[in-house]
Amino acid sequence: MNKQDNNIWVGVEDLTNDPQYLENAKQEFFELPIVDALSKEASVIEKATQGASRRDFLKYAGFGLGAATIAAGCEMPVRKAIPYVVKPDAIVPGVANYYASTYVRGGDYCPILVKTREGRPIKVEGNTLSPITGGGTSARVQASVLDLYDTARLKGAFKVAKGKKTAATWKSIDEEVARFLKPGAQVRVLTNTIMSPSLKAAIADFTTAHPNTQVVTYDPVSVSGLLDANSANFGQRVVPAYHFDKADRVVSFGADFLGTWISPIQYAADFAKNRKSDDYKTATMSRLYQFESYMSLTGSNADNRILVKPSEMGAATVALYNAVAKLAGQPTVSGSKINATAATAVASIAKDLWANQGKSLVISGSNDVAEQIVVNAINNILGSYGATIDFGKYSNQRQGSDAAVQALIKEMNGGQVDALIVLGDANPVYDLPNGDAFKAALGKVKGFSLSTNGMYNETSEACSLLAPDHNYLESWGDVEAQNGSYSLVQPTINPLFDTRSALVSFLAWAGNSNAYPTVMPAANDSTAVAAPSVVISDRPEYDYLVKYWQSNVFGKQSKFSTFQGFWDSALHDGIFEANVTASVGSFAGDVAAAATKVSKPVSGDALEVAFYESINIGAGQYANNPWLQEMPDPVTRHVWDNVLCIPVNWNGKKSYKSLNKLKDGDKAELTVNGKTYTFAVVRMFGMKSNTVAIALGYGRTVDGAVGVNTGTNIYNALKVSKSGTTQYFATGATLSNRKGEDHDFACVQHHHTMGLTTKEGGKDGGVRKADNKAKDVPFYVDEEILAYQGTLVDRSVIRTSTLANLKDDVKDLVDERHHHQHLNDQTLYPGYKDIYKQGHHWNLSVDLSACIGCGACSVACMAENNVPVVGKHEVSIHHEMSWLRIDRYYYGDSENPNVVYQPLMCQHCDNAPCENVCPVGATNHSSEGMNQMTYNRCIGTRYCANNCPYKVRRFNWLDYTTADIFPWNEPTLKDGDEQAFGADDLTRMVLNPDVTVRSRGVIEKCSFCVQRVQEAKLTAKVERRKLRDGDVKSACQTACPTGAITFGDGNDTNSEVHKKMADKRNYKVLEEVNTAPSVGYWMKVLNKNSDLV
Amino acid sequence: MSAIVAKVREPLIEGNKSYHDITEDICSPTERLPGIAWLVGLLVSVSVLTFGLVCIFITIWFGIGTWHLNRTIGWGWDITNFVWWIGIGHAGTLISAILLLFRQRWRTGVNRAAEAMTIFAVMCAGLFPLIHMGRIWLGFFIFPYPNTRGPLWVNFNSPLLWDVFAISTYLTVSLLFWYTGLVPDFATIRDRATGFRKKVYNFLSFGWTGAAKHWQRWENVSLVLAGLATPLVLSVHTIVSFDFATSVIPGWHTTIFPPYFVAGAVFSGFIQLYCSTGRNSIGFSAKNLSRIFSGMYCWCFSIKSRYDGTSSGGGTIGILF
Amino acid sequence: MIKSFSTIKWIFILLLLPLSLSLQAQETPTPDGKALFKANCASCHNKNMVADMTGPALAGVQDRWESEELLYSWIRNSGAVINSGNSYANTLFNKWNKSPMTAFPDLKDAEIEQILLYVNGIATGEGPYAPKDIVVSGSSTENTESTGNNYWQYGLLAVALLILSLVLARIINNLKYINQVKDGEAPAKRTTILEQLTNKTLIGFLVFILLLIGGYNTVNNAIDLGRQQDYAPEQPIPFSHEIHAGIHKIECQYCHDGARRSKHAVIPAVNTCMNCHKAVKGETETAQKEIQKIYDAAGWDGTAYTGETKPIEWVRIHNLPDHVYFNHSQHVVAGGLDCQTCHGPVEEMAKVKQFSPLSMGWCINCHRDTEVKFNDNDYYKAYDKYHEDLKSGKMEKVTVEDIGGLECQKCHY
Repeated sequence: MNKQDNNIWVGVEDLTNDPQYLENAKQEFFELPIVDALSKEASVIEKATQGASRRDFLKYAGFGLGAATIAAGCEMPVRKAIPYVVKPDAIVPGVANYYASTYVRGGDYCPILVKTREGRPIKVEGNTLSPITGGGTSARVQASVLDLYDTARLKGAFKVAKGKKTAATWKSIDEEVARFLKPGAQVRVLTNTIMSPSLKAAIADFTTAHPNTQVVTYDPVSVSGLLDANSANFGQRVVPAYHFDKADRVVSFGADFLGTWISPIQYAADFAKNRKSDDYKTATMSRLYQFESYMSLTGSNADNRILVKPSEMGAATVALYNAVAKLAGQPTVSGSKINATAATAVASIAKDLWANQGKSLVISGSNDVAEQIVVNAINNILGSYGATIDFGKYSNQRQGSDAAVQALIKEMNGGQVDALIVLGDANPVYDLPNGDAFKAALGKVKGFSLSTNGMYNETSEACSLLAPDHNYLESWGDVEAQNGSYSLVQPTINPLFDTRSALVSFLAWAGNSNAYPTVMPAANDSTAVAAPSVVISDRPEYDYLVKYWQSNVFGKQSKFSTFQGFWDSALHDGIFEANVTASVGSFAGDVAAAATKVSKPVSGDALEVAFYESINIGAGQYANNPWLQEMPDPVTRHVWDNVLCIPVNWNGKKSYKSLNKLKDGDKAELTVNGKTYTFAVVRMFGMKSNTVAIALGYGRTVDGAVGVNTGTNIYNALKVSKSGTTQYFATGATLSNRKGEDHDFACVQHHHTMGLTTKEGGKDGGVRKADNKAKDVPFYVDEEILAYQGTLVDRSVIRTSTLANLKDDVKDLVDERHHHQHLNDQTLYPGYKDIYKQGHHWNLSVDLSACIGCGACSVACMAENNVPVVGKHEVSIHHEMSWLRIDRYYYGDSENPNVVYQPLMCQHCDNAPCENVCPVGATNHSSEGMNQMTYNRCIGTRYCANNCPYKVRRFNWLDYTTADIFPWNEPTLKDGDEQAFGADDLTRMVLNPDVTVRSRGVIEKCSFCVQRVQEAKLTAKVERRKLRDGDVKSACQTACPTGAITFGDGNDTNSEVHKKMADKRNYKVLEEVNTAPSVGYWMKVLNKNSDLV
Repeated sequence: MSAIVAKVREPLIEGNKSYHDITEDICSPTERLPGIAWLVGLLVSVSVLTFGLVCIFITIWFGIGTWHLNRTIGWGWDITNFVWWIGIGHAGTLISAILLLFRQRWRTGVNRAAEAMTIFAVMCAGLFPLIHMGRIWLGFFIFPYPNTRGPLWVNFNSPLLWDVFAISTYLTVSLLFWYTGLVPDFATIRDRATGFRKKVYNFLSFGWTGAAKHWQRWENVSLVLAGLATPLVLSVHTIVSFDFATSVIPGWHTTIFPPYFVAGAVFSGFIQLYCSTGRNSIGFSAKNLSRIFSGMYCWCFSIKSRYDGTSSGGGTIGILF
Repeated sequence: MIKSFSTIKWIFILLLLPLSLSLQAQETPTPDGKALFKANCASCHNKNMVADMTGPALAGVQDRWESEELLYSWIRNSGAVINSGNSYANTLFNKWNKSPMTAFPDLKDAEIEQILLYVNGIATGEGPYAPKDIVVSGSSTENTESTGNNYWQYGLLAVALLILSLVLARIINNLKYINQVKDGEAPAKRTTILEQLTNKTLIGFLVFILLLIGGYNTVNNAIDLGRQQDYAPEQPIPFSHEIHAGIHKIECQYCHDGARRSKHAVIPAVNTCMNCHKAVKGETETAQKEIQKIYDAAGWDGTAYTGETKPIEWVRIHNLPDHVYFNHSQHVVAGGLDCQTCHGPVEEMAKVKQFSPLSMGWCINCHRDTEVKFNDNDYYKAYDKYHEDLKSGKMEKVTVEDIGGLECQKCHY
């Protein structure tokens, strides 16, 4: 066994041949602790037999009645059809409408198209017109449509006293506000980043009326340090525009710019542009170096990762500065020593950067001002400003200041604040390092404290008034995400509840100087309609927005002479780009002084903790979204929890050991900054030893049913550093030994495995390597792991290469594919293959080099295809339903591996093993090469799922969708919930009406978005034209920010997908099994720095 | 009648019994009320059966998800059980039919038990795939019946469908074989019975008079059925093994499965037969038809499961069967 | 014993006779020219017979052909006639852009005859199929009557046969008794009618017949379970398609405008009704009362809209299950089907009923038979092999089935 290995593995167990794991793998069933099983048992049986409640009685009575009804001859119920009285012109029932809008939440931003059916938004797509995102989305954007139908949304205005809320009228809220807004009142508006110019203008109006108003902006996961550094060095307190597409060398000090850092969709799209090539022979790629202590999404996509402890990050930055400065002949500064591997790496990285001056980019995710100043200095030496960094089109996506919010707490404690308005998602009680202090200070606000959050959260609970804002899909608004890049937010549905736009609230509170009603009519309160002294508009925020754009934005363009023309165009496109000149910015800063202030490495083996923002649920504001909770974290692959990532290290002999010998799912206590938390742990490769990492954003205490008590809140373990910014790492932590086990530990990494084995298992270990010439043995079956279902060694699942070896590896790949095809060229059915040669043959191609594993496709698939959410317990027993899973594989150095993400959906095999085993023919093949699943024919033998080599078929084990013929038998999402997720009529509004909601007991799987295919075909037929390439785009394809997924007609020789499938980098998974899949993968190519390997 | 005893061979029936004695031995238990032990056995069996029905209800009501399956493979213990029961059934047929074909006279001591065991085993075997289905209420889709869906037919490529045919054929032949053998015995009971009992047995014995012509035809039918049943033993379990052998799953995709399954079935079935007929010690007689029934009954429901309580509904069903 | 059996045999035969007759009557109905025309010809030939459509106008078609036989063989397989070199056939073929007529090899002589009779009837206004003046529920009443007549006749026949068989049974019985007396068999016994009627064989036979009929009905009803062909519920407004679509000839898609754009044909919004009914207020009192319901729904007080609307709750007639995807525009626009193909003669329905069974088999059958208009639409250029085969004559037509119209995921996803 060798530490350095090119094989591929998925987790620590298969790398170490852990006997327990092997034993488990042989077990057909889960070994659940018996007590647990019985306790679950008891609840089920209790429900079934004791008949304690009336509901249970009804359940059985209902069944009896239902059965009798069926027996009595299936009388069809009378169904009503209620047409419109006056049908809106835009709506044709059964035809979707798309509206350009913008997803915005705090600093998260994405221009989108909203798909509505019969007036309700059901899906969000990226807006391809946007120069910022280029049509990409993220998982959060895809899932945002579900937030609209969140049952936990506030249904109107409330007053809160002692943590209890009572419904109030808007009138009474406004009166209460007016009562305290006396002249000279000290008002503070606390908000996360606001990117809306019109809202800012409304707040300015408010400030005019109440001059002692101050706006305090903070971000829950802050880049305050970066902003302050730019303020110091360039006089602009902004995030500049980073051009990853122009950068040939990128160095990132812990910035997860593909996952969570500032504008991940934009950065991922730009980054991928510079990683793709049409021709492998002339391929060029950028190179990404990532300095980090834990495996982040960006790190997992990096060409070279350099492991440093969190406390070493500052010193590493200084080291790189010194190395670059030396090459540039500039004076160096004093810095601390970093670990030897990193120090060597820094030298060669500096050389590489220096050779690519003007084409390189250095960024840092640190929230430390000093570190950011050093990074700015490096960029300055390398000539990045003006080339890969632009201060003209600076970003507005982060504007928060850590110092400001801390100052606010002091003010409140000092009794200097008369009124506090908490805007939008801001949830300081939860997400400040000293949230408790904030809560205490909130009690000392003299007048009122008001939250406009649409949800009831920790901060709302401590406020006195709740004035909930609309969901973004219900409101008018605008966004200026980058300087000069405007987008519009337009409503796609009438407000579902009695909520009011925050903008209108500000106008109302600003007093009578505005021509807007002080009171919005409330549906539930007839007396609420006050007689206004001024003209009422029924959409004041729209009028305000239009007025704002007319006076402030219209002038920034020259294309349209009338405002109406400009407005219509902007509304149609959803975006408007003003001309902004690039600005180089002149660097002025004291690097030497900054270098002394960066964090000093803590020597010794003391445990350090890295805190990171979760890709799924962000800083916690997305916690109540079940789609995001159920989407596996791209890197750790766990769901519904924040788990502690612990390092795994090679012991130098023949095995790997993890920190404190903990195993996946073990619970352990982490003591950090004097506080103790209990986490389930997951063993992660590629972590710096003696470092653990944990995601922020979990463990909400006041939220909807989904978010509450999911995971553990660790914000209060953060500390504010000396420079006044929040510090996202901690030193001197301790981790206990095993303290029990998380019985519902839901990590999907080892679910639905295929093609992998233990490292010592096969002759070649796992997957066939590029340099493996032993092609005379098509199957090498390892008897040790024979019983591990779905596992066959030496299967072609993952292919990797490096830019340097690409030509050789492609040649090997071609040879091997030829060999596989030769193995299978004898057939009992000659001519059979020809049947797919005419008409359409649908293909999908995934570029593994472009795929960053972000999970947007996975959530898009759930939204498009009505895929049910099953909850943590069900996931823990392998019952997750997602049609598209993203497998994560490691390869390379086991201590610092590279990662491949492989999105795996139904492969639509032309020789599908699932099809011939279904006794009732519920799954079969279409003449267009689609593997069809007919839910209504399925009787649930699950034979197809067993026989699928890719393990992509999903069975409705329980009534997840509440579509069952037996009512009331749904599993609950979390223990204690009354209803299963999605059982209520509100949540059901998100369902795609063109896709059947599957009932219990049937198999389902990726359908290649057949509803989209059929729709596009029909459109072509109706228009009497050939189907064009690009007419059909699968949901995963449109969601992908990097364009890794291509779908189309493989029979159309001009189509993109045809070219992709014909490329020599393309391979098919398990081609040797002769399943003839319709999905192809492009091998993963890295551009490694060979000096560092 | 005094028995004619071969010099080189042990008598098949010990105790120098006359035909009348044997008839008495066989029929008398059916003509008196069962004993306490039998009733207790029945009670236990029925209560366990009820428990099993509750488990099946839970499975069907809530779904297979209560079983916590899906360790990549979505099948569980019930498919193992299905294979196992089919195997058990085979030995019964094999003993009865092959011994008949080879004219082994000692067969008569065990054949009834063996055949009854086969039928119950096949019935149990049929039950498991059924409750293992996701939508049992649509299970009839698996039969190629005329329909108005176009017509939508079954998939003759599927080994599961072969199972359906194999098992139903096997059950039919086994039932016929078993019942044919029973006819003369029913007639004997009928001749001794009175009243309503007589009517019932009269109906069951199909007007058997014991005429030479009846016996001749009976012999012929038995031989034909035995000839049919013997190859079925091989084919049915071979087909069951195809469920696995024809798949592409590593570990399942194996050519050894057909003979392996058949051989395994014969072994386990013999042992099972030995167990169920070896109950003389607690007062059951192999010749006693009704006792055999009850013996089978107790035995069916007293086999302890290998299932280690890893599932909710399914686990309990496992314990049941 | 044997004799009594023969009695039963007689009764059996006599009883079975009407049954078999009725079965026969059901299985092979007299070909109805109109129905046949609609099923086979109407998609290409104009219903008024005098105007061209996809195919030529059919009025006077018999006169144009030199012989009936030739016309018949043309209908069954036009390609063969063209290839035989018949001049008229070739002229016709060339005139119609060399698009061959769909072949109907299964049409019987009698059926073609009826079609031609219908064609002539419509074209000339004479004969059995002469178009009638529009009379309220004219044809349908007639149909019901004729069916009623049939049943009545069969009933009468059955009763007569029953009496006959009883009489025969008595006669046979008497003869048997006479024989017995003659043979001196003692004690000679004359069976009573009751004894004859409770005869085991007879009862057994009756049970058998009951089972047969019961089974037949059970199967049929089971097949229809959950379907609602001929479902014609009361609607909140007794809207008559006969008046709107039949007499006033309003295009179907004027109101059901979704049919060409969407998967739903769309029940028209109340404001669509108001387009006309603002002016059309109804002549009779009943009509006015019903039209008033529209005004109430639309909130129309006779001069202006009040804004108080009240949607009309129609009763859905066509209910496809949720797992079936059906798209109207696919069939109406891409497929070019008439609404009547599936919905029946709606323009004759005073009260709309579900015309078709809407069963899967019904869909499938149509997909098997229906020809795709392959050359009209550029979309189908993707099917190059079929185009070659059509050109080379290997294929006569491309049906919906050929382009995957029977595949599961065309309707279920």
